[in-house]
Amino acid sequence: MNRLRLVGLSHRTAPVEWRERLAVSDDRLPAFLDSLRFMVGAGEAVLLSTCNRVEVYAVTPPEGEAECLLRKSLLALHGDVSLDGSLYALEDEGAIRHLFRVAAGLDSLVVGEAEILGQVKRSYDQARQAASTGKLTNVLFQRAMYVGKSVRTETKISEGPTSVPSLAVSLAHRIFGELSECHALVVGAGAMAELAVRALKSQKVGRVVVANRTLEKAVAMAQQFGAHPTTFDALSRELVLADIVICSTGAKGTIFNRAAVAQALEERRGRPLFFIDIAVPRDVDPSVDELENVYLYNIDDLEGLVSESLGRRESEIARAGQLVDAKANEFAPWYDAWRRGTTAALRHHVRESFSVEGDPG
Amino acid sequence: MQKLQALLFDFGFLGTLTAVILYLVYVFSRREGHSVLGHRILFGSALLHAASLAVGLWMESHRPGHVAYGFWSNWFESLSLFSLLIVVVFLGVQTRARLAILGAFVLPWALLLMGLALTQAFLASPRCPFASVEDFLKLADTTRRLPVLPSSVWAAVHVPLLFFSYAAFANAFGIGLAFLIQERQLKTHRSTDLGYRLPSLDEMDRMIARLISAAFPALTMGLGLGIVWAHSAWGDRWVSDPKVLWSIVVWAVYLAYLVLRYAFNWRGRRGAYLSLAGFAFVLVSYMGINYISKAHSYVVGEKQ
Repeated sequence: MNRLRLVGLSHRTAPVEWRERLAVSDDRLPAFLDSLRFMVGAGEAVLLSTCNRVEVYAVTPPEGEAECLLRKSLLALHGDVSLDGSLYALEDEGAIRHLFRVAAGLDSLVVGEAEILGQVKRSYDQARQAASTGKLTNVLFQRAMYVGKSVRTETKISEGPTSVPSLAVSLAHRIFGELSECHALVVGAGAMAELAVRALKSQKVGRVVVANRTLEKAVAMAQQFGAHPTTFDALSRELVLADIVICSTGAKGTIFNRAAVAQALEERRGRPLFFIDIAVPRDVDPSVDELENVYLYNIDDLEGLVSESLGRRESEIARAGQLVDAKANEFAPWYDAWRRGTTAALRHHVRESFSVEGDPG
Repeated sequence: MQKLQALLFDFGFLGTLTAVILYLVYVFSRREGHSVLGHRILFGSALLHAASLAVGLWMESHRPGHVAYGFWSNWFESLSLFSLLIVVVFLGVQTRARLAILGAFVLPWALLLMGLALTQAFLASPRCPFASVEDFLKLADTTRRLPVLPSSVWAAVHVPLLFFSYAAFANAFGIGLAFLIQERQLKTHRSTDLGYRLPSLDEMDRMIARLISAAFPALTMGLGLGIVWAHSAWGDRWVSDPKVLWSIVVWAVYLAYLVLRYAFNWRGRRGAYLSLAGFAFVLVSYMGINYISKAHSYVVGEKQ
């Protein structure tokens, strides 16, 4: 009676330097899956390799030495046996439950992140192309993707922004809706500002203007962002045109005071203005927030909201875990039947309306 | 026939109730399925509700001594028309912008008005509210007030025009509430799940402005027709009718909204407050003034 085994490591057991040593490139994958067949006698095998985990799911002979052989094959990828201590091994229901948890984003660094679902699908597709899947892995991985989707729709585990740039984008959406007609003004160049601009660009934000004290610096940055350069002299004019203003200068004083913003608002004909002030010390006078139609967020506001949103996700972990357990239990009879060589019915309904809210970038 | 009218209304009410519950559940469940089902049931209920009104109109037009303005002369029919139009306008809003979540803010008002219509029927003949609609309609038919004014085709348009504008204002009111929640959360840097799911400020602001811009000409025409009609029948007496005066206040509030919004860029929170205030005036005009305006009072059962 063959059984399902899992051997792997993840961000929970190994630092990134170790994980990357085991990463298998796409072109080497078929050969690796093939080698499992010869060395371990694995009838079916899928390798799930992301930047946070490397896991082999394989259908192996029942004897205990199969696990040992799986470990060896994985370590042979780098020829370094010292990693053995950070490998974990699970079998049967344990391995099934683990895969479901992974697909649901419960084992991810950022709980509930959406990317892992695509990565599970990709790993499965690659294994299928390499002809290393079979009856169990086919059903199991389809099931895992279904579980991943339904946990995300039935709990709040993947709701809300998880990083400052994605929060900035979601706030911009809540103010302006579609961003394609919005203009962004970037003042100063911090790392976070760059991330925020990239996130906005991925949402097809309209014109982006980069302002700096000297035109040379502005031009250099503008090229980087695919934006228009300008200097601080033009700020008051740009403030009238911009909808989203991202500030991250190293200036000691404020760049935008209340009077300047109030004057720009007059000319803006009532259009709202969204300030993202991630500079420390702050670039925008805090009293600007009192003005009508202005939404001012400083770095503390943003980080507070992100941790709040992450907290909401965390609070759903228990419920999501229960759901995964229930799905794993639901799958158990089918797995037992498979091991005995018979078949059992598997309830399967996938909710059609489903969308994953991903972190841009 | 009254039985048919009552039955259609009852089923329309139950359907609308179900739809409103689904729209409210959707806010928390976040399942598209709930809003889609709610939308379908709402559409079906609106058809039943419209059929109920159509049957009433048909009966009215086949009554001996028929007058065009005889209909909508009691609370039940008036509330029924008002609530139906709110639903119809909302269905229109939803086809333009697929924002089902707004249903939770707009539709409860339509349901409330339908509930009030049932209450009116119940007050007039206190049996089970559903059964009593029929009794009420029979009663209202025998006591149907002859209009104070001579009837005309224009007169028949007066009421539906005004109710259409009221319904659009009711939608603007519901969206205004959602706008203020979103605005408050963004301004205070606090966000709940609801905030992340409501439409953007910009979308809601434009929707409110569009609804009011579309309703204002109807309000103006409805009001104008009423005044012209009253003037031709009463001379200058219309000036002293409280409902007419109050309606002019309503008209002025929405005129102020449009002027401030388009000429003075009153977007955002202040505009939303004004649209809320406007609807409060509409409600006073609709609910309150009828008791003191002779020309606009409705037949209720007790008056037989």
